[in-house]
Amino acid sequence: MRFRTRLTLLFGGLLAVSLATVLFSIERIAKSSALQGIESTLSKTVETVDKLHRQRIVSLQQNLRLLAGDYGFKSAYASEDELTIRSALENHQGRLVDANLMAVCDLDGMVLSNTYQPSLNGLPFPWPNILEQADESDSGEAAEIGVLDNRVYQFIVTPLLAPDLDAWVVSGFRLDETTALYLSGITGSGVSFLKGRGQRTTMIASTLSTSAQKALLHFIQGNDDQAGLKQYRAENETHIGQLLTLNESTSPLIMAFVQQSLDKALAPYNTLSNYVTWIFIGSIAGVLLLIVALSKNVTRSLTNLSRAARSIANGDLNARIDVAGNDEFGLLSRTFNEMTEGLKEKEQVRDLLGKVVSPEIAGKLIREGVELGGEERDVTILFCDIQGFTKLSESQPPTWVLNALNTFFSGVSDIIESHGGVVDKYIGDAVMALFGVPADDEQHAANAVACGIEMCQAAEQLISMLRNKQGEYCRFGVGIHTGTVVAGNVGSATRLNYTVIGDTVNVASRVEGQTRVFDTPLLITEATAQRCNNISFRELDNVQLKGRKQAITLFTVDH
Amino acid sequence: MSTLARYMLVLSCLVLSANLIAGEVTITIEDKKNHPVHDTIIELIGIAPNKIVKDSIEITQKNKEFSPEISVMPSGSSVLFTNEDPFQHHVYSVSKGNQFDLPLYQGTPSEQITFESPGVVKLGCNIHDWMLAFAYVSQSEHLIVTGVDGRARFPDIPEGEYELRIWNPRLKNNKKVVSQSLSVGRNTPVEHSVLLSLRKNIRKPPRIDNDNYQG
Repeated sequence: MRFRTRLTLLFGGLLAVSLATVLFSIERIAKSSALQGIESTLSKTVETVDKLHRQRIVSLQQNLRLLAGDYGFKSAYASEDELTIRSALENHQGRLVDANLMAVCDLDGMVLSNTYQPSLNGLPFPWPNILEQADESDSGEAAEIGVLDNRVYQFIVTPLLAPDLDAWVVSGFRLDETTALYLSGITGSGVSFLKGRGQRTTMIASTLSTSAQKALLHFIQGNDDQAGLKQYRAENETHIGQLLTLNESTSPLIMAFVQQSLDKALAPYNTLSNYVTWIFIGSIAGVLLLIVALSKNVTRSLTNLSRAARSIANGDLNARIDVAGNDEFGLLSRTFNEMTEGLKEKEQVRDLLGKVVSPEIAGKLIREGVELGGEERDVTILFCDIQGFTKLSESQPPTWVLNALNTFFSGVSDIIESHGGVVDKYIGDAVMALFGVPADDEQHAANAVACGIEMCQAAEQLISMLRNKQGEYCRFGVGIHTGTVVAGNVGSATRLNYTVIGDTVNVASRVEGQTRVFDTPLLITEATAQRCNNISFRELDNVQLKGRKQAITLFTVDH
Repeated sequence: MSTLARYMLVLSCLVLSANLIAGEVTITIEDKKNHPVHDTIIELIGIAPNKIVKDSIEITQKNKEFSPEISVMPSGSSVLFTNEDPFQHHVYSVSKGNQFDLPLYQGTPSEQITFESPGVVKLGCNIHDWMLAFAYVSQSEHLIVTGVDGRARFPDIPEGEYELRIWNPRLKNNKKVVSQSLSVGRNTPVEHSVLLSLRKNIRKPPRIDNDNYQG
């Protein structure tokens, strides 16, 4: 997977998860808060409806108490004339705005007169328990709900005191649509009155539409548990409401259901939720675009860097990166270019040094630095010389001489390097080669002998061009000797050479000079031969070299 | 001496002077918890003509209360409602057969009220709702109020059939008397118990006094 894709997925995913978590939390908190608000409001509304209902009862009770204490009413009651009593009751009912009926009952619970129906007179009051409640209460008053001709009434009872308890005065108001509208108008909620329990629950009155009433009734018939908030669907809306029991001791059960539209109450929350969702989507899209652009910029820089590094790995030290900006990528590009420039310069130095000295020596100098001094090493020195070249060059133009030497040296140098040796220096038409320095080589003697053998085998080709117009050509000689030398940098702090110094060098040079004497192109000292187990030597003779007290034994190799 | 005591003294004299010696009748009144009920009026009404004497009594209004709170009097007796308060009262009764109305007055009213119908008369004041008094209008000389033991003992009741009337202001329907039949045999003591359903208190409006008013 591409870095850009991974970067986009990583940051995009992280952002999406973070924002989704925030959005979810906000939604959850907002919804919880909204629901709590609705529940709190609804709970207060139910309390208000309950208080209003009770206040209405208290208000009617107070008015009824005053009317029951009216002396004219007592006089009418004392007349024991039903018409007179009813007339007084109707008069009082006119004063009680809320009242829908009034009645007077004796202390045995018989109806003496009423404003609802003449047939009730002389009969027991339909809800004797209300009178009993009044009789048992300290105040002598009671309020309870009863059903008369399938209509639900809130009854209020107060004693007729003449001057002590002489009869009961009853008044009642209907729980009908007017009452529901009255309560709904004050609270701003839907109000319904219901009768009964479970499947037998019926609707008494409601401020709701007919279809909503049916939906509510159907819901309550299956959920008439009094406690808790209730939600139901009607007319494509969710409503939330609470049941309020209006009668506690009488039967049937009469309840008020106070409700509000949950959808309308949640509308501000839903608007907020929509805003947050759009902000979420916009943020994700915007950030993804930014991440793509950023990652594109990053990957472009990395791609350029990678391409340039690959070019350098392939040897192109001219590869450079375009530097754009002063950010970290700009700094990296600049540093990379500086590093490449440094590599290029170092390579140039190495290349140049490798031409002046051997590549191995150049590498050692670059690796270990250039310091004067040296160390004792056991090495093999090879000298190679073109015998008769000086005479030949006298008859040739300098350019030809230089080209001929260069050709010879190039060939010899290739052979030396192929056997692990290094060219120490060119001395006129001679070559001095080292085996065993600067790099350690346990087989330096054998390698030097193998090098000499190959030189001799290639002598024909190497010196073929060194013929003059008369067909004379030069001879070729190789001398090899092994011994201890001091290897190191020789010279001054500003100009020095890596070379070896010691008697071994002189011996090797003298041995090469003996090739003319023995007329053989390759001579090896005993010190070298002893170190070459797998090479067959032919001993030639003991010779006394110039400048040395002891003779040394020389060998050659038949090739 | 209270009106009730005076009336009982007269009745006792009447009983002692009677020629007919008959049985002793003892009536015991208890409430539903079988506690004796005192201050209950027990009246025995026989077939024979009653030998009652009309009386004239006085019920005063003082400190916004009636005094006495319970009066017993033979039917036909007259009552003078004397107002001893510095303000007016409006005394009335809506009790059946003995309704009357004394509009606002102060001091001694010009007329006395005669209670002709036997039974209970509730007396009130139209401007002071809590003022309450009872008048028991009797029609027989055999009338006793129970003592703390809840008993009423009539030492000499002639043989015959009687209507036993019982009344207590704490009766649940105290505008009516409790009526029962009672047979009294020759020289045969009668022990009769009656259970009454009583209220804890007489239900009447609470008294209102404006203690904060300082003239």
